[in-house]
Amino acid sequence: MVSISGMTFAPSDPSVVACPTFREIFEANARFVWRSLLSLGISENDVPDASQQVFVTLSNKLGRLAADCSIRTFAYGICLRVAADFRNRAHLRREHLCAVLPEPQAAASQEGLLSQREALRRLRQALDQIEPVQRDVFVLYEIEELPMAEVAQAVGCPLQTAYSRLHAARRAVAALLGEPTGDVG
Amino acid sequence: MMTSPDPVRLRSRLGGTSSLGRALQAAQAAGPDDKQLQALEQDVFAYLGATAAVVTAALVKAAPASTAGVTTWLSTGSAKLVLAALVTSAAIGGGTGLVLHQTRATAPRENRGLPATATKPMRPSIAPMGTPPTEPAAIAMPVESPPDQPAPAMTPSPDKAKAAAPSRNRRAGTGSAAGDDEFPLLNRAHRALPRDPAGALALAEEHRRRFPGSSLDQERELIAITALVDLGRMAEARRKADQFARQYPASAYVGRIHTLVNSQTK
Repeated sequence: MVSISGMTFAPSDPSVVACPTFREIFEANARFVWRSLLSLGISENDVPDASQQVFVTLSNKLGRLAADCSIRTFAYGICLRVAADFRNRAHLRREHLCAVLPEPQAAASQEGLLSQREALRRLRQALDQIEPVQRDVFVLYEIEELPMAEVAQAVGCPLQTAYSRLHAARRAVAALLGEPTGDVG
Repeated sequence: MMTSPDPVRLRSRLGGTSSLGRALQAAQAAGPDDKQLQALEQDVFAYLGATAAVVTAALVKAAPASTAGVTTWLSTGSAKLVLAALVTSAAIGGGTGLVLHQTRATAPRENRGLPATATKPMRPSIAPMGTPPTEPAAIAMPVESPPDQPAPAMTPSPDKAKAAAPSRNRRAGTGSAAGDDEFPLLNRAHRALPRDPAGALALAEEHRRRFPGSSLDQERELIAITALVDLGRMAEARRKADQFARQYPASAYVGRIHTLVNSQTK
């Protein structure tokens, strides 16, 4: 089956590469979109709505997906725009963006989990403070582990620029977390 | 050109010995739980399903009670919206044919087996954003995009979609007389594709003869090219694909047609 802009056809030649349905695209990328939005500074309160907006926009834009662009890269481009929209509205919803994580009700045996959660909170704070163009590269490469070529494509910059942004982001994040910047260069 | 290998990722380099390493591990493990994921899925597909349903409901509501099918009175613009909704419905899976059946029915909507999700209102929080489509015309933007204008920005613009629709309808030029048959004709062509590409191609050609300059011309060409590919008439398919790309460089279908034609040549 081949889907062209949502129309699903069944060519007689079975060698035609199958295109995923939108539901398959959703299932394959929902966690990625959710996680990316969190890393892009969207609060946990807003992530469900932002994720919904990403997928609604994605459904509209699939027809413009270039042949050499992966759906994940394309989706991340939409994540960037949606996250920017949410951040632009931050002055209206500051209380959400600055919301602290719920006070943990944990036993001592969960100390490691709490430590990890605290580390994540600090990382997100650091990502909020660095240059957005550096943060985008850092998130895609260090958290989502996309190849640098795809990272550059997703953020729309030359490959060497992406490398530069990554190194700058690493140093900035390490400094904000009080880590030796020499370890991350 | 040789490219240098990607640098070692910090998570691998630092492991869990530093707070940054632990934070990266935690960030990778973060994400929605199953319940959150299910809620998101319901919201997304309810939104998309409701969009298609709204189009249909509006058409059915305006239909004369005595007509056998509302497609007989559709204007070209309305038909385009329905086709667009059909496209959207097919795209999201599980909804193929839903809109078609509804447009042909005259029974109340609740009696036509609409899925529950189709009537679920979208989340209120979506509306103020301004970027997602707020009505059916916007959700179907790929087929609303005028061929002679640049593609809209990544963020859909419902206002532009609404503004463009009337002029597109006027461009069809033949008013309801053309709309009477245009959508059913193309719809038959679309439905014939999987089982009878030759028939689909003939119907598309009939559409071209009867409705020159139609606002559904891109959809017709898409059907025709797909039919040619299915029939193995690749030279004609490629010629049509090239012509389509020249005529509608900003069309949402260009990339897909390119992929389709090239996937058959490999």
